[in-house]
Amino acid sequence: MKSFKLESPNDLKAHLLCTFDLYMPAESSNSDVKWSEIDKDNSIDYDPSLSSTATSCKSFFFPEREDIFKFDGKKFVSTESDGNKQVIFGIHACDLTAIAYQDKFFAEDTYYQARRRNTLLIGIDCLTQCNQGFCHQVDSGPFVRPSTADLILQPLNNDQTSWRLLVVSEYGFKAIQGMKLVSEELGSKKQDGDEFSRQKSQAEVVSHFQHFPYLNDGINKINNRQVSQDQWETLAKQCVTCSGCTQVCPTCSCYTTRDIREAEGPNVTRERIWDSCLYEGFQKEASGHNPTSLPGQRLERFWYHKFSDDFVSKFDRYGCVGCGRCEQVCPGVIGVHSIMKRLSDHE
Amino acid sequence: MTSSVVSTICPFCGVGCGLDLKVQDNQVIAVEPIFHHPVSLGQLCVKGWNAAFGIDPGNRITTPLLRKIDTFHPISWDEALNHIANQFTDIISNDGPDALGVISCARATNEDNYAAQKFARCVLGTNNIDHCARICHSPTVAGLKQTLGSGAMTNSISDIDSADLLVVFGADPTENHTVLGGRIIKAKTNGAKLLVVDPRKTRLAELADVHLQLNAGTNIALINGLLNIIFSNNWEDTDFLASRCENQKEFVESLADYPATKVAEITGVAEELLDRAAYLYSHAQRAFLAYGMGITQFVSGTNNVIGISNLALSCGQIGRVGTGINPLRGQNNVQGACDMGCLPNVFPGYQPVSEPAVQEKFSSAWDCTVPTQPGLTSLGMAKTALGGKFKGLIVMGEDPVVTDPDQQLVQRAFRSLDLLVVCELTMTETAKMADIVLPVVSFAEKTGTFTNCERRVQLIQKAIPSFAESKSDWRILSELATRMGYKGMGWQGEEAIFDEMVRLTPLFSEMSYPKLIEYQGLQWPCDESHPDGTMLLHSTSFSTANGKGKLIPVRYVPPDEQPDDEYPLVLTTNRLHFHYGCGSMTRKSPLLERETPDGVLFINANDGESYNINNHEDVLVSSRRGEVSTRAVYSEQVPQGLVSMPYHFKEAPSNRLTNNAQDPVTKMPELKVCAVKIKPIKAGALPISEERL
Amino acid sequence: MNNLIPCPLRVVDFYEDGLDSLHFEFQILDYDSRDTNLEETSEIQAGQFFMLSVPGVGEAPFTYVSKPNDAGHFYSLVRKVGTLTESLWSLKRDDIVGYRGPIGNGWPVSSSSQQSSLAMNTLVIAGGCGLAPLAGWLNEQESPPDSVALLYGSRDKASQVLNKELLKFKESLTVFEVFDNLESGYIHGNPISQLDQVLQKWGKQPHRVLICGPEIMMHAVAKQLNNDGVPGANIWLSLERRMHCGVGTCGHCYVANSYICKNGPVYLWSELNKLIQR
Repeated sequence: MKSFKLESPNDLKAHLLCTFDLYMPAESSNSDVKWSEIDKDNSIDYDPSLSSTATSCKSFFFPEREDIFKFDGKKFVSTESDGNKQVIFGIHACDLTAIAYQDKFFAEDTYYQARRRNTLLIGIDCLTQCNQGFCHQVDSGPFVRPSTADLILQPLNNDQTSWRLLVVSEYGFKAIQGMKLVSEELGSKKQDGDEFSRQKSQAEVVSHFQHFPYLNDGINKINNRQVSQDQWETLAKQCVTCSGCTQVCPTCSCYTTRDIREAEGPNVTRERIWDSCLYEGFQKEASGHNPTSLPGQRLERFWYHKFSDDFVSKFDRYGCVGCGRCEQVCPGVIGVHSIMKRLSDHE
Repeated sequence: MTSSVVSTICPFCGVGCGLDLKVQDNQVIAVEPIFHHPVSLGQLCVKGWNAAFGIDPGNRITTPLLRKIDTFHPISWDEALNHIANQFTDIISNDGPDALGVISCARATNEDNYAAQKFARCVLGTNNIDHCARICHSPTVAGLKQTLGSGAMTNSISDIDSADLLVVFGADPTENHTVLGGRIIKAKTNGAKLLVVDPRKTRLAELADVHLQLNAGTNIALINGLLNIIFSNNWEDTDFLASRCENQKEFVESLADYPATKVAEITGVAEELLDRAAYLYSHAQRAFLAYGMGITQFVSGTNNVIGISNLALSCGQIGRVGTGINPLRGQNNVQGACDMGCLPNVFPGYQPVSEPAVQEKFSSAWDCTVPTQPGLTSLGMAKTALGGKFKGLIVMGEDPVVTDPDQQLVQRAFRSLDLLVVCELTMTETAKMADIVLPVVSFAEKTGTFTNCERRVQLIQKAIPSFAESKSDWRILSELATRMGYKGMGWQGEEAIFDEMVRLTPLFSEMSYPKLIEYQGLQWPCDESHPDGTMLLHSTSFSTANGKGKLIPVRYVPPDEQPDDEYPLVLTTNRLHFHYGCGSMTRKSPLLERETPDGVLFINANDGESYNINNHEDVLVSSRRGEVSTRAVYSEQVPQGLVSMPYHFKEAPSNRLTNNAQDPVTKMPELKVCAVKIKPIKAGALPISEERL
Repeated sequence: MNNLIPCPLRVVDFYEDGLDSLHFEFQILDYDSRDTNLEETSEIQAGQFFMLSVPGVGEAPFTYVSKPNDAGHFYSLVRKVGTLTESLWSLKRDDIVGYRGPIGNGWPVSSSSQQSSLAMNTLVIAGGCGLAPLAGWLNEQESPPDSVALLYGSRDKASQVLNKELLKFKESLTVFEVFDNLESGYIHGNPISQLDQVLQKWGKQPHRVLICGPEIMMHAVAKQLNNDGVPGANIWLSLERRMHCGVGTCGHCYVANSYICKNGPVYLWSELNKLIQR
């Protein structure tokens, strides 16, 4: 990992805009912080103090709807597209952790990979805790895990006026060629010192974070199988099946496919669209058999997928990255905080 | 990757959630919530999340269509509009203006609706204008007008957060109004109490502290019973009654007919539960009462609403934060369609059609002579058509063939018309009966305003170009108006329509598009004394002539059609979370379509067994009006003796069965109760469920 | 290498083979020059499956009754249960549909040492059209006829599938047919209710068991045999779930943290039992 002094993230942004399409968090007219495409002409400044983006980076690589192939009556032709070279600028640690998770999950998905390999990821360390976040409790932040980004912006003071740029990957290193940057690298000893001091800084930052004991409690209960079917059914009474949780969750990946026939002629397009395991029809078979016909079963499944040790061997971590978005989008008041509180409270 | 995000408002129910549309290559490819939206706070229901599918090009109508016998042929806009203009002109001269009418759209914008009623009044010369509020909340408008002077939600959605008691009366807000229902769940989680009145054990009933599972159609008996208990125990709010209400004496006397024992027998609710409910409501610091079709869709609909009002007034649960009488307006803009005067008896802003001063004002502003007789309701138009005196109709974006009661009557009425024009996105069942079909733009293809159930006027923004040759509803009417010789509808754009409406409507006088953006919507009244809008109505006085709330005695009348030996079960109707209205948009989502089979009859397991019908088996449901075959689904939500059908599925139209007996005041049909019989279609055979994906 | 794109598949022929069931012959076009877009080990195993696409309708998993030969011809049995299977009834000879396969893990392949061991008794239990995934395996068996017993349960004679294959099995194996509805001359009941009787009739102790049919039946039979002394590691079941990708990403076919398309559809009872507990 190479390290450089950086005047301002906007310098990096300006440089990258010469080669890439660039997306960064920006405030909308509704005060929401959302991913916005920035071009050279209307370039507004990057504001590192903005809160976490309302939505994750999931749809950059795994869009809500995507054509898989076209059929003309004789042949099936892929509609995979590379997309342009793009940079996603200013991603928080939780979302980067989720991208790394989905990189593993979609390792053999050519559609995901085509978009992914053309994307440069610029992370930024968080110094303050976001509204519902608990990255520190699920080992996904607040500082960017180096292997999850190409370049990392590290603010060196609370005012975010002094910066370090960490270069993690080859792709990242190539991207900054041509920038005038002062290297901080002075051999491996200094690097270790940097990594160590980064860990120290993170520990400092986390010491000011609120800790939620009921989260650990709830996770333990799930892994020790101390939550009964009845409990899940009771909780599931509040699930209206809006699908909001799976939409906003950065690690959710379920999809379904459907064929669209053109009005006349043999042409057919197959598209894949985001799906949600909370739907009653998600596992329902044509025969009517449904192994998860009860809402409690589906609810249990969702949280099992997010917090079970059973998945850790494959992904090296839980499915949940602690972003807390599910809490906000859930009308039934059973997002991660609410659910874990209920599980923790229950004897 | 996405090229842009456009903020707008969800086109489905009356909550009016903020919705961001993700646009790529001129198509809406996905939606996201608006996290800082004052109403939805970043949430959406499953319909909102699936909104993009609803406007997919797939089955959208691309050009105007003319029907020749059984097939539709594409024609040009010129041809279509000339045809309509000529035929309407003929009908006016041969049969008079009142032989024509307009059914406007509770889901179109305020601008579209304003244009619709202006077209009816200035171009056609009739007050025959109505829309689906007729079969939804027309009793709310009529009832509350009498008791409070104004028929709209008295408080705001955010008042739910400050209530210590939530009352949900005849509504299922976690299925429709989901985000509002979620707010109720949140309040309950934070310690508020929840009282639910419903013949079905809905989701909120399960979570409630008290559930009054009354017999369908016994609302007034129940309410009067509660009031009898309240006054007998001196639990009423004497100060409030003395200072802010009138007619108390006559009213309280009328309650003597409703002692708890008698009420328990009529409603099927145990006396002790009646006591508890009465105590809870009268002792709550702040009780927020929400109600829906379970109050309005009855022959006693208007009186049911008056009953609710009596209850709130007697306990002083109105005029303060966290309280109120809160009708849950169903459609995204049914409040707006009413506000814009798409009703046969009022102009925009509820200014009465029969008042000379009002007639003068509008005649002058519109440069025409407005008609002075109140017009026909939608059901009135159907009946008059069957009588041969009503010849031409424009239906904008509504599907009465599926959503109105007594489907066969509606179909006969439409067939009898000389000219039926339907403005639609897709070929609904009603569009299939039209003589001319005109393609209109979807909510994502236009700018305008919607008014949600808490009177909040919100701006929607055009995100993608008009699809194919479709036009806005208002523009179609504007061009028709020109062809028929009226020059007063030649607006440049939506903002011009809004500004004109604002000038003529005191309730809206301080509103403007820029202000709507700045404030994230404004709740009317938004006038000189409330330039930033009004969250709370009736805080110091009511909108009646003398400022007092009226207590009006109402008598219990049983539903028009009771079960008997021939038709032994009661059928009621319900909504599903997954679908909206006639399903023309939601059924385009593969995920929503997968969730529900085409049509379902919810039945109690014990009833299922008695009638020899297995779970998921095909069943034939019949009433005196018609029969429907659908699928039985055992549900714990319905008690024995009651079956329930959603009305979303055109393959299993519940309205072939429903009763069109009407509330005498509003002509609201009694959709909530009728008598049916059922039998299995293939005894012993297990049906195979349809796979949509 | 894009694993979601089907190869063109020609409908060669079909005939009715049981109630609401069609026995198809397909041909994978350009089989020898095909893009091996899914991992093929050495040979396709009995018990694996393929994804069949009917363009414009959808895609779903189906089993091989026989594996593709060198020219890409193979057979498959389909029962009409929903929209997709119903659309197969409108297909004509030479229509082009789509194929992705082989997918999943198949039935245990007997090692030569096992085959030579005459002490290996195998009980095969099929319910309804669950006979189809087993047919390929049964065809391959070269053991003495009484060492492989097939217990085949269905509603009635008309609902039995693979009628030609059944006739062959009656010669090469020991076959017991049971029917839910009374059919004279046949055992009345279902595989679980008649298991003991059939085992008695067969007169052998099963060393291994292969089961395919409705899930409730499979679990019940597996439990009972396990209790009777057959080790969970010698009982195989073939599961089915709704599927949209067949490559472990769409998420639909899960059982706990296992995807049927990747780790199944054939599972050891000992493994499956653990999964169900999770």
